[in-house]
Amino acid sequence: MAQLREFAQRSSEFDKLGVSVIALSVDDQQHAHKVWEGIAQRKFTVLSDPAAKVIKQYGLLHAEGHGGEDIAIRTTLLIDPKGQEAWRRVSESVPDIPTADEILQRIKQAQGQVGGVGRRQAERSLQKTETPTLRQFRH
Amino acid sequence: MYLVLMSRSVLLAILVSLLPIMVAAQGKPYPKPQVPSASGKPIPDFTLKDRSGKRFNLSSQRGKCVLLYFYRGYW
Repeated sequence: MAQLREFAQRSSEFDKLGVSVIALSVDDQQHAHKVWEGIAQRKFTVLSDPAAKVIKQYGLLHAEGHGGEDIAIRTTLLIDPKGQEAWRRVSESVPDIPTADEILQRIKQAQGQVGGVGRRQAERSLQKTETPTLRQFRH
Repeated sequence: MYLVLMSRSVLLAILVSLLPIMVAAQGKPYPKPQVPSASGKPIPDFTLKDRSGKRFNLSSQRGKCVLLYFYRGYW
């Protein structure tokens, strides 16, 4: 939830880098619309996958993860302009969800905008942002 | 002395009886992705409806970076 809000708040930065932000869940169309209108502030695409068809296709099914209902494993996936996977993070816990800062750095790396000393600094910065998995924050 | 031993035994019995509850509270482990990460490999295309019912193809984004975020839903 907080992640989607952050994407909306920083949508101009994603736009500047020419990145399409797409959120996807098992929510039906009605719920997806609510998320788009409220949390996403109409800033990015919200897709509805109520049968978890794509979630299963991507191997990201959390079977019976919400009161016996199937949901998606929380995953941030960066796809490069060629349609290839550039980076992904599977987040077991809320603190493990990458921040917008980290994602923006990853995007710049994928686009080759960070090189030489800047690249090393970015890598160090990304290492610092790696957060431990905290079981107590699971939900 | 007898009282100390008794209280220790009682405490141990309580802890042992609570063990299954503590284990259950841990819940199931968070699942691992069924498909491993494939950095540099093509991402499968898909078609889904967006929140307005309009069809969306991932391949329509070719040439752009895409941030695809899978969230839990049910809010």
